[in-house]
Amino acid sequence: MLSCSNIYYRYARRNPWILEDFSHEFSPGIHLIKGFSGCGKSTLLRVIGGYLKQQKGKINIQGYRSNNTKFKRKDLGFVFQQLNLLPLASIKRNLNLAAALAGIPNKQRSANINKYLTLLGLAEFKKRLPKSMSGGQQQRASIARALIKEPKILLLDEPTSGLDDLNTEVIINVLKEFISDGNRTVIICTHDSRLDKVAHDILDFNRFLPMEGHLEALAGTAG
Amino acid sequence: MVCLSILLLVGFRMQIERLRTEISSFGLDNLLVIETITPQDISAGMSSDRFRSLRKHGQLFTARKMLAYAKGSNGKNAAVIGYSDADIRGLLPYLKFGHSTFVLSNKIPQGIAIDYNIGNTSVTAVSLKPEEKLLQLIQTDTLFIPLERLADIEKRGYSMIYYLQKNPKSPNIENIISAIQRVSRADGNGKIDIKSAAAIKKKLDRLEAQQSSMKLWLAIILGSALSLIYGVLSILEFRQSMYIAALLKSFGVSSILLGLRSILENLLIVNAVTIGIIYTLSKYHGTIFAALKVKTGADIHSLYWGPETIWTIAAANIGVLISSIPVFLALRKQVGNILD
Repeated sequence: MLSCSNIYYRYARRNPWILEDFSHEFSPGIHLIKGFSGCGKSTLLRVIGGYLKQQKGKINIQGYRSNNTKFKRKDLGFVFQQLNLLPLASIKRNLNLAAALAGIPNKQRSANINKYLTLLGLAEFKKRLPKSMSGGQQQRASIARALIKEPKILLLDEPTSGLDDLNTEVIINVLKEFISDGNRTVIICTHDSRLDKVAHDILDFNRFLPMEGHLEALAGTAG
Repeated sequence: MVCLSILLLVGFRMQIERLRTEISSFGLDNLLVIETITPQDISAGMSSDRFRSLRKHGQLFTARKMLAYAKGSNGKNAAVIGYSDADIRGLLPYLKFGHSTFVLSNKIPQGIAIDYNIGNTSVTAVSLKPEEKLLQLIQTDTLFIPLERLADIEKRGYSMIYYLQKNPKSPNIENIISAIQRVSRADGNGKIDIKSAAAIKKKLDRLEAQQSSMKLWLAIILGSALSLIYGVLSILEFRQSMYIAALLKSFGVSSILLGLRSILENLLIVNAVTIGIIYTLSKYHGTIFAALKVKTGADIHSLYWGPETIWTIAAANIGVLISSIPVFLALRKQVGNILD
């Protein structure tokens, strides 16, 4: 169980709140967060991941605080919008680094790399550098990197933006397989309605928009 | 920078070691006065015995070093020293063998008879080994001859040597030197050259003070230069380091670990390079200082691995620590503000 209680976040002291008194509980399954661009979806995802520190409120993930490094190392997977693959390392090395930092033993590491690269249709690309692959392949590689440690919580920021139906279908199937043990929580920020069919819950973020000052904030901040 | 600093500091150290050796071999309580007596001084009737009263302060060795060389039958030249009855007391350890003419040499075996020519005078001398206390005076083969046999040569002028080994209870060396200088200034005759460990000690103190201040400045310059170089590199790589650090932090690596890794990496590089330079310099010490025409001592190891080296290494390490500041600034940034 992942719970957010009375979360407040703003990028600078003089800016309006992007997240204002946000509370929600995410049970195991796939959750979509939808809303206008700049409404705070990505910000919420980063706050949950512990990559931005909320000014007020608490996030509790199975007894851990979200900024706990042990939790991040072992039980949190995050797929950034910009993918952030290391450009001078092959896909296999990108995955291997994430798995090694998560403390996965060597043998299991190779097994997981093969498993997720195969599931995401990238088995033959594992020795390639990210720049020599298409955008869709890089996006799948980035998801494989987050899945490699088989985290309890998986956060994805626009994982299917710009992908064709075939690539999107591959990702949907992998996510279904990933949550099949009923223990894992996936939260996806997206505009993509193709993902609706797989969601257990869709959170309309527009309803959390603060009434005053938010339009100005939208002009100044992303996500 | 490291190379230059080490060479400068080692140069200083060598000079200091040389002076220390000179002090210990000369002895802190010893005094050498050499008075040059010219033919004009002789014809003016200047007393050549005026500093003999130094005897009351300790053991005094006196002799006259002639402005001539003796050609030996062994093919070697020898300095010529004439002695009078007044000088015999200091020469007793040599005269006891029964030869009034003798040559003190470290190189010729003892007891060998050698013929010498000094101008028109021919003498035969027996070789003897100089006592340790005379080593300051006897650096080459030195022929000792009774003064009456050198009357013609003496007229050309000579150096009057007074070598005092002071009693511990006598006034200190500085006071004796000052008295000698006062006498010399007062009568205006002769030119005196005074050598004592006290003067060397003063020089040594001055050199040590200079070395301390140089150590400090070199450490500051070296530390600043390394901080600047590494600091500029850190700033140029700031965005890249920040990105990599954020990515690794997003995988759960702690900021402290990343900061320590960065510092350790830089420290490892700087220390390996510094120690490598010092090792190379010590290995080629002889060649480098021979090229600079500087005499080197025997104990090279202690020259290079002494306190100066520790100063240099410490300065380099402080430079590295200062240059790590941008890395820590990058680590303080929140991952979510760096990675999109």
